[in-house]
Formats: sequence, structure tokens, C-alpha cells
Amino acid sequence: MTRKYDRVIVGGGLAGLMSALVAATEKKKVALLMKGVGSIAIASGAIDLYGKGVGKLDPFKTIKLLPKNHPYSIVGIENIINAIKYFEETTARYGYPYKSICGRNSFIPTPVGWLKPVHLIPSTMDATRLISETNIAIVGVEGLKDFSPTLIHSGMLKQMAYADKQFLTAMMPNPFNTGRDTTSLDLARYVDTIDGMQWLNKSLRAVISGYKVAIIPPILGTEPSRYIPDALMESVGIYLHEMPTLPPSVHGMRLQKLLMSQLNALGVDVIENADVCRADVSGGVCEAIYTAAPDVERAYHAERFIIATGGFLGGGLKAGVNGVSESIFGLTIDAPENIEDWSNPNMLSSGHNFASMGIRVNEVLQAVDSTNKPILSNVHFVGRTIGGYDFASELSGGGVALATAYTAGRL
Amino acid sequence: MAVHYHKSPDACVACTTCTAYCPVAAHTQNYQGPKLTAPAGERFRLLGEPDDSSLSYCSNCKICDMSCPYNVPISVINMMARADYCAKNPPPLRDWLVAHGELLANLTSILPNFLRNWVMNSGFVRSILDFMGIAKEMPLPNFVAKTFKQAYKNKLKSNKADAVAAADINKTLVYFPGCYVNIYEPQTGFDVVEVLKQAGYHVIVPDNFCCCGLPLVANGYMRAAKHNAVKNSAELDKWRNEGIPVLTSCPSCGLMLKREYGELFPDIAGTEHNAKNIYDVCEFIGSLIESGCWKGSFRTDAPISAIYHTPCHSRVQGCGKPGLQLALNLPNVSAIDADAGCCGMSGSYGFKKDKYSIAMNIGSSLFQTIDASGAQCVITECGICQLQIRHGISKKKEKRVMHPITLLKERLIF
Repeated sequence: MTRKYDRVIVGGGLAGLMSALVAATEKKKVALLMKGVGSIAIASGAIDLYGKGVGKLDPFKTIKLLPKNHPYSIVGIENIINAIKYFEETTARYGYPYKSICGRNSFIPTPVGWLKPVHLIPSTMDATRLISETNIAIVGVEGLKDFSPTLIHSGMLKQMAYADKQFLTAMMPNPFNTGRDTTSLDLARYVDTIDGMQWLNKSLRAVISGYKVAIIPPILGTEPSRYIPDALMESVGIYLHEMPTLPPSVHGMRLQKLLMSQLNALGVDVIENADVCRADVSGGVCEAIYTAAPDVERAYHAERFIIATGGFLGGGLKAGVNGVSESIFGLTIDAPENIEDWSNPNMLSSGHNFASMGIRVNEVLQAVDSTNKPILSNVHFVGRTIGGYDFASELSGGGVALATAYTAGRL
Repeated sequence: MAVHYHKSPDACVACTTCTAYCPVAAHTQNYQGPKLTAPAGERFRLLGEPDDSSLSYCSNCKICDMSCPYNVPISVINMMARADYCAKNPPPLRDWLVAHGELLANLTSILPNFLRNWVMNSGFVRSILDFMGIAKEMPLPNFVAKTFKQAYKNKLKSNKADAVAAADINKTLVYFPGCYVNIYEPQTGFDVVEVLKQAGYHVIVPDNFCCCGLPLVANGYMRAAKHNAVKNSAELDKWRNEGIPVLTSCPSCGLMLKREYGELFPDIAGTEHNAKNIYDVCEFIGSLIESGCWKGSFRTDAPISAIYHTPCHSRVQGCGKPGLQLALNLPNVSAIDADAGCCGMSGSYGFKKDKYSIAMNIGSSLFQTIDASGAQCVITECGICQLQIRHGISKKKEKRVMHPITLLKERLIF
């Protein structure tokens, strides 16, 4: 079984979906091979850009100072800005706009009351609406784990920006009287229905009179649309701030739905449960990649391949006793010889070597050898497959995914 | 008491992705979801402390398996646990009835066909069935007077030319029609045969194939399912040894023969080799067209618009959407992908009175997408999905619901 495309993209996370979208917008015939559903549904749904050091406030200031081997330095500031613009326009066109606040980071409160610097946010994550008020309500739902108004309250009080605010903590009744533990996703699905809208409308009115803003779990429907949030905010008369909670992530699933639906509209051939097992490479050119199944191997030919298989968690990188390698082409990844040097004994420190292990790439995101010579001319790596950055400590995962995917998608 | 099977639940990292994507969990709070029922529940079952209250909710659509980042065989764990439960607690007669469609068709075939369909669909019988737990709102598919296998045999007898063509082994294929085509929808089978004939192939439909066994698995009749698997595997062995490929038109049969036999019945020899000799008919024809080996020509007049639904059991096979690709290759056919999730029916699931409304709610997004699309026809490979779509979509707009091969056949110029 053989199929031919202009672009074959491997990976269904943010970098994979974005690459496919950009390539399809460029009128390319695109196949997207996914294994699993990507990590968007367990991510916060906000897009971070850079949130460490001075970059906490203005990510671009820091990005300009990053070392040469950082993915941001490799793709360049113009690609980063254009990727953000492209993402903002795409989501706006769909009716679920992501924006940055004046090109800077915003600080969204988390379920433990910490403030997380993020860059692109949907309209219901705008923390400036919280900062500008003196009185803030935090409203949970009975039986909803992972969203405790008291915990959020005590955490936020420790943050300078919120230390002088007056908080109200309140609980709404749980609309389900039977069954399993309630998640934000269950409630968001309920709010998709008319009954659910009425429940939320009524419950909110009962607890927040006198307040202009309220922090609530992400339950304003599952659709990437402003319809339900806008309708409820208008009816209740306050700004509702949806706080990202633990997985399943409602914000993330909305974003995934938005991107997948755009891919469908652009005619991208999405192959689910595609288990890429090997590639045909000759003379530094990838001829095809193959997916394994109990029946036949299926070959996918393309002019260019974009690899968005993720890092160790996503399966794009493999670590073994003999070192670290990339999982489709078996490319060797630079890693200290002594395995003990891969990580830092201080677990919560930000200096883990493994966190920034990944493929060394050039400005067109081809993997390069130690002399900077491209190894595969028509294979481009995006997102966490690339080394030279530590997304967890930098808070840069979303931005690197978008910027590298945009760069590769336009090639 | 310890359970007899063991699929390791320990690869599960409890990320909850499966529960987030489970169509059943999305529509009822009563289902604990795949994570808690399969890998987490398995740990309790292994300790002899099972909580089986949630097991019956799994529809075996297998979206959980597909969404899992760590390849936990979630639905297989559920099905094996259900089989174990059913072995100790015999399921109601209702489950026996919906699991044994093929047997029922055989048993009732002594009646004249109009009579048995009239009886099955009469208000009286539907009330009894409803009392037994088969939702009376859900239309039962009509039996046909002659099964596809019988009718095809008769047709071959009357046509000597086809028998002669059979001599060329490189141009011979075996077709596994599956119960739905065989006892309810033989026209799909004839369309498959006709299209393959146009491609230059002679088609054999062996008598010895029986139901793939998936409805039996889904209702907890694992021993009966294995009996079928053994019988079918012997026949599949035979054709593999002769070098003749086997084609399926139903995604669920294909999934069962290719993947599930090996997963569920590892002691049946040769299943992994047989898997490599089994092809989906749309993918098979699609690759003939793409490789330029297809000689037939298609109509270019009478434009038609189609909307495609991917059956869940197609999605999990990692083959993409062969039915959609096929339609996109046809001149003057515009095809779009509904991309609206599971139809909800999941074989026998939607027939069950206590599951009917869950099934309809799961399918509602698909029905709305189809109704809003303005497409003239709906194409999907699975017969049960077709049945559910016919039931769920607006009756005001007459839309045909059919197998992609039927659309292809109707576009052929003979």
C-alpha cells in the first residue's frame, strides 16, 4: 500500500497540527500521521513563549539574547513573530481568538494560586481583567477535584499582584447526582446543553452578587467558540475567568478541536493510530516512511517530511544504555557519556541535561552532524524533537512548537 | 478468585486521555470510563475484588486504545473482564439474541422471509423484545430471503464464464462478506463482487466462513467467539497457503480477523500470518487506482455530493480513510469528511434498551453534521453505522446511506 503526498507530517501534538495547517494553507497535499491524540489535551491550552528571567515580562527581550543553538535563535525572530500572527489569525477566523496582552506575557493564576507566565490566551483567560478589580470571586463546584477555591485563594494571597484583593470563595452545587467523580470536562459537556447553561447561570447568580469578576474551572462548554462564554457573561453580568485545571484539559481539547477541524476543511488526510516503524533513506534523502499494523505496512511518500514526534514522553526520542537516539531514523543525540550526568540529583532544579537533549538542527530544521552538515535533506524536525532548550524550566514549549512548525510548514 | 487471563494494566500512567476521548463517558456519568474500568479495575480483579458495575457500559468502539499514549490494550482488558464476568453470571437472553444474529437468521430461515420480517417487526413481537430489553425505537434490519452466500452461489452456477475465469490464480480473490452483508445487505456484497470483476478479478465466497465473532466478544460470549475464530482461521490458513488474498468490506470484521484474533486468542496458530493476507476492499481498489492498475472508467456526468463517516473500527486500524479516498478519486463526485465522531451504535450496543439513548446521544453530533451538510448521500463502510445513520438523520431530506463501494459501482461505465 503506497500513498503519495507533498508533505507528510508525523505527530499529532501542537507542533504536528500547526505544521500540517501551515503546509496545507500553502496549498500542499498533506498527510498527518498521528499515534495517540497528542499532548494538547493534557496541556493547559494557553501558549507559552518564554517565561524565565527577564523573559517573564517581555519574552522577546530574552529571546534575542538566547544562545545560538536555541530553537528560537535558529528559526529567528521573524519566524517567531509570524508564527504567532498566523496562530492568532487562524484562531480568530475560527471564532475562538487567541491573543497576547500587548505583545507581552500575562500571568494566569493556577489551581495552587501560583502565577504562570503565558503568552497567547483565549478570551476567558485574561488575567488583566482580574488585576483591575478589587473584589474577586473564586467559585468551585461541589465534588470537582483539583479546583479548590480555598487553596487557590491562599496561594493567590501570597502573590504581590493579588495581596491586597478581597476574595470571595464559594461553591456551586454539583449537577450530577449519580455516577463517577466529576471532572471539568464533564461539567463543560453539561454546559454545552441548555440544561447545563441554565444550571450554571442560576448557580453563579446565587453566589456572586456584587462581584464583577469570578475565577471558575474551565466549564464554559467544549466548543472552540465564544458563544457560550459570551452568552453567560452577558446574562450573569460579570467577567468569567476560566482557570486551567489538571487533565483532561478542556482548554486544550477546544484548541485541538479547532485545529483538527481546520485540517479537515483544508483536506488534510489525517491517519489516526499510525505507528511509524521505519523509513527508507538513500543518499541522504528520505524516500518514504512506513507505518506498521497487524496487516500490511503502509508506505507514505512525500517531497518533504516533518517530524513532530515529541521528546522522551511523546516517543520521538529514546534513551537506552547505549545512549539517546531519535526514534524513526535512529539519529544519534548528543548526551553525556556517563548516564548519571543526564540528570541533576536535585530533582526540582532546572538544570537537567535530559530536558534539553534533542536533535541538532540548522535554520531549515534539518538534522545536522557535528560539522553542521545536513543528514537528511528532505526531513525537518519541529517541536520537542529539537534539542537546545528546556521547555519545562523556560516555559517555552508552546512557542517553540509554533515557531518551528511554522518555519517547517512553509518550506 | 483470580481471573484466568492477564493483560498487564501496568503500562497505564493514569493520564485520563482515554476517558477524555471515550464517546460513552462523554454521554453518561454512570460509566466510570475506560481508565477506571479497564487498567485500574483490572488491578482489583486480580486481587479478586472486582467492581463490575461499569463493565456493561463499554461499547467496544476502541477509541480508548487509539488515544492511549502507552499502548495499553484497554478495550481488550474490558472485553476479557466482561467475558470472565459473563462466564460466572450468565447474561440475559437479550444479550444472547443480539450477539447471535447469524444463528437467528439460520434458525428462522425455515419461515418464508416476508413472514419472519413481518413477525420480527410486528408491534407485538417488538413489545416482547422491548420487555426483554431490546429498544423498540431502534429499527431491526430486515432479513433477506436468500443470504448473500446462497445468492452468489446461484449466480455463479448460472454464469459459466465466471467459473472459467477462476482458473487464473493471480486474478482470484476471496471475499469475507460478514454477517451484515450476508443476512441483511447482500447488495453491498454484489457491488463488491461487481467492482472486483471490473478490476479483472474472479471472487470466491467460501461457505466455511462464519461470523467473525465480534458481536459475541462484545456481549461476553468469549467461548463461542473463539469457536468462530478457530473455524475462520482454518479457512484463512487455507487461502493464505494458496496465495489468494482475502478481502473484507466491513471494518469490524476486518479488525477482528486482522488484529483481535491475535490479541484475544493468542493460542490460535497463524493469526499473525493470516493478518498479512487480509485487505480492506476500499484500500485494495484504492491502491489499484493509485498505482494505475485500474482499467475501468467512471461516469463524468451527473455530479453527486457525498459525506463520509469513518467507522471507529476503521479509525483504529491505522489505515486512514480508504472509503473517503476512494470517493475523492471518482470524477464529478464531491466528497467531504463528516469528522463528527462515533455514530454510537457499536454493533449491538444501540439495540439495548438501557443503552439506546446513550447511543443516540453519541451519534447526535454526526447526525447534525450530515443533516447540515447538504450532501446527497452518506457513505460509510460499516453496515451497522449505516443503519444507525439512517435512523438518526432527518427523514425530511432523502439521503441514501451506502457503502463507498456501492457509490463506486454506480459511477462505473460498463
